[in-house]
Amino acid sequence: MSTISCKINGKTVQCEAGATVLEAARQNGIEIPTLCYLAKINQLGACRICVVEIEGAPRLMPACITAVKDGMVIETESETVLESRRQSLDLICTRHRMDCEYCPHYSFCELHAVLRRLGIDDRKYSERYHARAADESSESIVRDNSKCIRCRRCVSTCKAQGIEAIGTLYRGENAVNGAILPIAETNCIGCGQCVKNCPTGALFIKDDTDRLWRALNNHKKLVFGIMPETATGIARFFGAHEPIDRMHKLATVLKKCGAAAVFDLRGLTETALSGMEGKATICPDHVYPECRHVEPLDRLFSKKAREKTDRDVFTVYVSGCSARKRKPHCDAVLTTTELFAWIQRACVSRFTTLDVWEKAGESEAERLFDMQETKADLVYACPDGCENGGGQFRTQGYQK
Amino acid sequence: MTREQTLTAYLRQTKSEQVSLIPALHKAKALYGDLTPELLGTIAEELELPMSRVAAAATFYSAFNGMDDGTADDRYLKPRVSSWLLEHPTGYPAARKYLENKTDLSSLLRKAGVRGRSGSGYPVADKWELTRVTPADVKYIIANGSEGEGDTYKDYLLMVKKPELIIEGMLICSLYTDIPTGIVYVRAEYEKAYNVVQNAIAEAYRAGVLGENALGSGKRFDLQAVRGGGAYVSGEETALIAMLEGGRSEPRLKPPYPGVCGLFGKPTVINNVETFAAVASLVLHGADAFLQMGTPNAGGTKLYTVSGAVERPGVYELPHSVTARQVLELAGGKAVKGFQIGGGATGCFAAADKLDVVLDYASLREAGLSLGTAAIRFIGEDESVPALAWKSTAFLKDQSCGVCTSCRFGLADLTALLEQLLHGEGTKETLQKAKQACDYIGQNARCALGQAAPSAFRSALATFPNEFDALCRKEDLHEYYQL
Repeated sequence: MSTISCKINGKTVQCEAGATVLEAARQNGIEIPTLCYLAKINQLGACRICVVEIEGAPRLMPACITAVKDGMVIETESETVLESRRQSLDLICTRHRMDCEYCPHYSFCELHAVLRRLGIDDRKYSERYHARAADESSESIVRDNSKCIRCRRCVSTCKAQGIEAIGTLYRGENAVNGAILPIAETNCIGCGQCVKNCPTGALFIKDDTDRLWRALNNHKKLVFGIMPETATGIARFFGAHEPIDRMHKLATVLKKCGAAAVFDLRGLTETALSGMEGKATICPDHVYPECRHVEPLDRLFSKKAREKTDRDVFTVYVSGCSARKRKPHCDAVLTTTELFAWIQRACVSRFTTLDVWEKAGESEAERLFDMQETKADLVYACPDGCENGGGQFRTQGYQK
Repeated sequence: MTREQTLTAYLRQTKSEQVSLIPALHKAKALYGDLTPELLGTIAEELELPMSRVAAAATFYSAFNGMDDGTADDRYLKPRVSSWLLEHPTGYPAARKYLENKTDLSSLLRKAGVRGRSGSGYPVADKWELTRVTPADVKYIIANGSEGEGDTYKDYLLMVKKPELIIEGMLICSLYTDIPTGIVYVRAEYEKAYNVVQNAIAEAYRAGVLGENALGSGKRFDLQAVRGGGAYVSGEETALIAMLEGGRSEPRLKPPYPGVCGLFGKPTVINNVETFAAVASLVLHGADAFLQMGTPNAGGTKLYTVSGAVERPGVYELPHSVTARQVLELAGGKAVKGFQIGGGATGCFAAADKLDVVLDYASLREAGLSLGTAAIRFIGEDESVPALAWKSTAFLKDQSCGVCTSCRFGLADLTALLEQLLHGEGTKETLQKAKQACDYIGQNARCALGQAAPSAFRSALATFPNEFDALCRKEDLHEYYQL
């Protein structure tokens, strides 16, 4: 790989030949804000947030798709650039329903992050967002286009997944992303990768945690089954490094929130695959219908859990998978993000989660399945497996 | 046959065509009138395309989504002044001359300096040469008859009255570049032109001008007409290519240029229909006569579409050396305070002091204007320039493809600001915001539409500032009551 040199903000730097201005900047520790950019998947130059000034160019150029030429002189933070970025952001925000306090995406919102970085504190135009009814037809995903900023990451992601259930519809100011039919009537499998990549709260996983509250209020015994990726995902926020520590701490917290029992589901996948060789999948039945499937994981968990505890406990299967919500085989199928949100609400009403997490450590999670080898050759709908499922936190998955 | 059977049979036959989706949508529209999701599902299934892709295209184009992008105007089918192009002899004399004399087209094009007639004025020699030398197994020629620019009907006239001339120019291009496949793209709203061109192509096949051994050249040239979906932005060459490929007319980043990577990723010559006609005309008359007819930087004749405050609006075929005042006199204009040149969407406004500018590329550029589609709309003394500027901007707002923030939302806001002014609800601050919005859109635009979008309002404001000031609400009551 040959290197070329260019000047960014007055400093001469080196970068790989063929790199974009954005890549060259990042290779040299210079940060340019982006919004619609998603490496390799969504490189459109649509949002205009990453625009930079390039000497000799007749107008501002988007850093994410402009190739660096040897000797190029680039300014990433000039007054013209900042003014343009603010105006683009302003236009985006006036068409976005600002609902931050109630938005399921609040802490992870990339629009919010860019706003804070650029220091926007006033609105020039009146709100002109399109009030649209949310599409709640799918068991896994909710689309609320009143928050859509038209970045097209979801469309590109769905295409990269090989599904292409959604596209961009209509033209100009009326352009929206989605489908002309409710999502449930398309070939959407509910993998949730679009949710993971959506920079705002326009797309989110359907929240089924009210089932837990109802169960508790009806004096049901809550019995949780936690898949390994859920413990890993939640532990990222509180800090716990060993797999077994993560499970126990999570189990302790859940018991304080009202759980009767918490089961560690490591080994479930291998048990389900026992005896199988060659190509197979642990994804729910409607994903890869032509491939060999195992018995639904949530059903395996629910059966064994009831054997161990009681016949009429309320079984809750928690994993990184959003597609599994389509056909639940236990009382509630939740994703990692939902469980995290529920814990926050449950704990906030009594004590702080972090406090409990730090003090926890006894063996609170019981193993239900033995670890074993599997000879199967697994196929996953989500890139690199369940660790990157639609129900996992947004820091995982495709590189931004 | 039932409607269902007709559609299914058509889809099964069209499926093997390279350009299949847009014609399929037209067929379904013709049979059913309304494109329901079920119909789109049928099309998706038969053409083996994802439903989302079919819906993405169907909702984009005005022929299918119910939007109004303008109509053909048959009054312009009677040319006011005809010359080389409109009086070009039938029988393909230029193509025959090219074959007989073994014309060195590269030198001819360069000597004559002929430019494309779409609006950008790019040298034809360079474009055809680039495509000719780029190595590839498959290449295409596309004649762009999308004519989306307002106040422009020259291509409509050419396609309806002289389709053979377009075919002739494309044939010469094919023989020179060794490209055996061509498409004549006709704007959705020009149904008459589409039918005429289709018939002309069929006739050319019958006469042995097209097909195997085209005009006795020993080479093959296949041509088809394709009717567009309806969108101004599909006039942009990469957006047009995107439509032919079954997608939304969303402009692509250049480079790569179509000459290297065009239709289906193959090298493509894409020029305005008038350009092909002009080349055929050049071959017939020769470079010297061509240059004598025009100016050193713009030879031959040009089709000018004249409208507005004139007695005889229409298409005038005149030498390139003509001035706006001469055109005004020919068209029977009275008292005008200025004109908009280049088209009703992106054309620049000029005051009466520019009437003596020669209507060629260099002279107009020097005067801070642009030839564009060579449409001249004369403005009467009593007409409102701000209203015309608003009309241009509002049109472009509806034509924005929707990809980039600056054009998609910027044009909407600019239009709203102009509307405020026109309704008497705007102030000096509104005007200032509009100016800023203009600059912002021009600075950030992703494609030629957004780049050209500020032209109308910006030039109108610079040339007729008083008319805009008069619209501003007087905040200062002393000023208002002239105390």
